[in-house]
Amino acid sequence: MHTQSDESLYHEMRSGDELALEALYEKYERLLFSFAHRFTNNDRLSEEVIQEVWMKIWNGRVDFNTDKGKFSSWILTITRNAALDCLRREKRQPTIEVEERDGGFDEPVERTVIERETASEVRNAVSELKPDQQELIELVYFKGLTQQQISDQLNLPLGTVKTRIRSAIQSLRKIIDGRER
Amino acid sequence: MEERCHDLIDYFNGTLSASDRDAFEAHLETCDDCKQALQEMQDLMLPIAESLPARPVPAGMKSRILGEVLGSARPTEEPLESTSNEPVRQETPHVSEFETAQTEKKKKRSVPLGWLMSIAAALILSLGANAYFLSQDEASPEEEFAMDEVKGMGNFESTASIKGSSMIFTKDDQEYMLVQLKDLPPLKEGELYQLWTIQGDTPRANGVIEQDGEAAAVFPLKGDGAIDAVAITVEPEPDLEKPTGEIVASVAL
Repeated sequence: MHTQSDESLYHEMRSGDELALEALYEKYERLLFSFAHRFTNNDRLSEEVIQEVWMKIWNGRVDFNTDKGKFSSWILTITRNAALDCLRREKRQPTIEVEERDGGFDEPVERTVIERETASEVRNAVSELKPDQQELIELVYFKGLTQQQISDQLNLPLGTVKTRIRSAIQSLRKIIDGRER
Repeated sequence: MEERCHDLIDYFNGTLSASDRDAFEAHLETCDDCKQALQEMQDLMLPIAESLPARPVPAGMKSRILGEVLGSARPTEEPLESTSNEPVRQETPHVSEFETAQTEKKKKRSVPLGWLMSIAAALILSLGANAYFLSQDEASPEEEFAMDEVKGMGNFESTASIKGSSMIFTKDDQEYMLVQLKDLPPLKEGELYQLWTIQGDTPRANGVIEQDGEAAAVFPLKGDGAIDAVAITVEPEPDLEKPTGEIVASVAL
């Protein structure tokens, strides 16, 4: 069953096949959890994000087709959107659960970078970027800030932000492609 | 660089208003540079995710999530009493608006159905999940279609210029609510349109629309009994126990 492509499992799932849902869920569980956790820094919120993702997919509130590229990129995009929505909601309504978190959302970027670098196995390609590029990737991908917010935070002209981001993305691409070789 | 090129990051991060998002999507059709930059950003999603340190998955997560997900899609099943991620909301004064919506019952049985019927046809033919969305031009009116019984229909009345109709019908012993809406105002980030079915003065969350502009959808009805009215609110989260936003449109059936 697991040799089936994601796309074919997805289509079976959309026609109501619960086993196909389970197979897809299992295949992506670890990846999505680590990915969601990178945004929320919290187990409970990460689980909520992933539940929201599968709810949307199972209930047809989002729909995948091959025009949208690979299933893996699509489901990560859905997860990222759900995680960013979750962060924005949490910011809008700070709750009494703040102390339960195993990390804060307003953690300085520098700290998260250092934490990742001191992890026993540094596998994060982002950490090989120059510090200013790491920060840009952090703000764009994991914080979901607007271009204006990035411009304000880094004290860069608005027009320069996009160019710098693109350059950081291309550098990251090179690092990743170099590893895959 | 064109003015619109500056919206790339905000488009990628979903922080544009609906009108700016539409304008950027139109811009993407003509700007190869933005198209390529966006593709580069999207293509990095998988390698970035794969390069993250693995986090141990909480025990029992799979059964909790699949339990909730599968439970959510069984239309004949009674709704779960509470779900783990459903915030407990306090009573809000908006509940009284549902009473108003319910008492606004009017004798409007002859509704110009327009494309409602043809959309219903295409939707029901392919109904395999909780809800289907499609755009008007994808409907296939020539395909064979039969609702078993239409139990009520009406046009929405709106405080926000929303137009549209709703119809409750049965098909193979299951009740469905069809809605078609136009001129849904833009949503702020994180917001959605929540549909509520109202029995007496009790609203029940029954379907979510996460887009503005035009939408058509069929939702299996939750619970039993006749629906008196359908109302729409703007909410920060789907399927809350009670509405927190004001009613933007409602229809008495």
